[in-house]
Amino acid sequence: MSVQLEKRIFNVDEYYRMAEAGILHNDDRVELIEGEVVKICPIGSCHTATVKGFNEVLVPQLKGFATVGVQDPIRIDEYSEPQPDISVLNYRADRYSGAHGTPEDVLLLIEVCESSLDYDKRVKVPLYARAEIPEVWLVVLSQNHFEIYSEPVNGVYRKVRIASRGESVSPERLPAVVVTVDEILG
Amino acid sequence: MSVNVEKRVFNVDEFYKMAEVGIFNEDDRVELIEGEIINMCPIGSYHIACVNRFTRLLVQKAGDLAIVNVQNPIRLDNLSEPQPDISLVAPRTDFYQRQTASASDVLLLVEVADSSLDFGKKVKIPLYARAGIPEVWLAVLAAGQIIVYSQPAEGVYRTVRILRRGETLSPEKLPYIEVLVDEILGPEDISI
Repeated sequence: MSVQLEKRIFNVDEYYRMAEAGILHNDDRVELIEGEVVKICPIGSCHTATVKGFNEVLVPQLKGFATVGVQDPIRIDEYSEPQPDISVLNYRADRYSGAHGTPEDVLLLIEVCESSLDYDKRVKVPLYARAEIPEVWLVVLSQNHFEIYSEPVNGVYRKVRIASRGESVSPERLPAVVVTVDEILG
Repeated sequence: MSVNVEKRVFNVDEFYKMAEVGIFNEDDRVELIEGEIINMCPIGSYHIACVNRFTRLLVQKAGDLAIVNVQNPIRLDNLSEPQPDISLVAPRTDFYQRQTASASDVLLLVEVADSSLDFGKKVKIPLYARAGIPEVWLAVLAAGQIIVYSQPAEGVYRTVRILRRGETLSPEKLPYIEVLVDEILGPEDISI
């Protein structure tokens, strides 16, 4: 549909009401991005293997320091609630049972990109920057590298770097944690 | 928004459910277009006057041979239920109380656009063509024109005519109705 038609956007309350009313159902894999209900791309086995890689390599290092969500919603603001592949949040003993994590809780987000690369770069990374998510890793499977975005200022990440095979990366907020690109990409 | 992510589209049942459960409120002027919920543009006084003129003329001239539906929904298919400015629909004794009018009920649709840059209206013309709406009149106020689209085939209108002041319009399905472009656009000195 043309961009000239003004879409009726939805806020998170309306989005949840859609789920309660059965308009969105369990087999709907969707997320709310800037007021639009978008489908989450079906994920391939390379994608799932990468997420499993993080579970094996990253998550054990975070025990007791951070709470980790896998494909969990993060309440960015009134109009966006994406579900990044991995969200590393400030540690909470209640595991965020009271409410989804918000940008202030986030230490690092990781998105694995296959077909969604363009969307992730154009829409999600700027969204995370505006929300001042301190750091985002895009795992670009087609390029065999990570794109690492950090230092969000005025809605953009000031620092962007690429980590290729043979390199290791550490989240800025968790400098003791180290993963190598090879361990993740397998 | 990028093209490689698919929007979750909504069908008419889901659209109505949103209204039922209060996701839409009274201030929401929305229509369903190809599964997307679209805010309807606020309309100016010239637009309103033009719809009023059309309504009066068409009610008078159609008599009992068509129902003049003003800014009411037309169910085109499972994913589209636009609210054109005016639709002339086939007469029904229940006045469409049991069921919203569908594409096959429509004899003529009228849309009023403030300018030819009103892409929203332009986007809807192909939608109407695909649904087989036999004829659409698009009044382009800023240009002082009424564009007549007819003979839909394979998703496009095969005939497009531009009528200006001094000319007469007549719907193909209701040929006994004649409307002057000037009667619709109103006096020239007060247009836009």
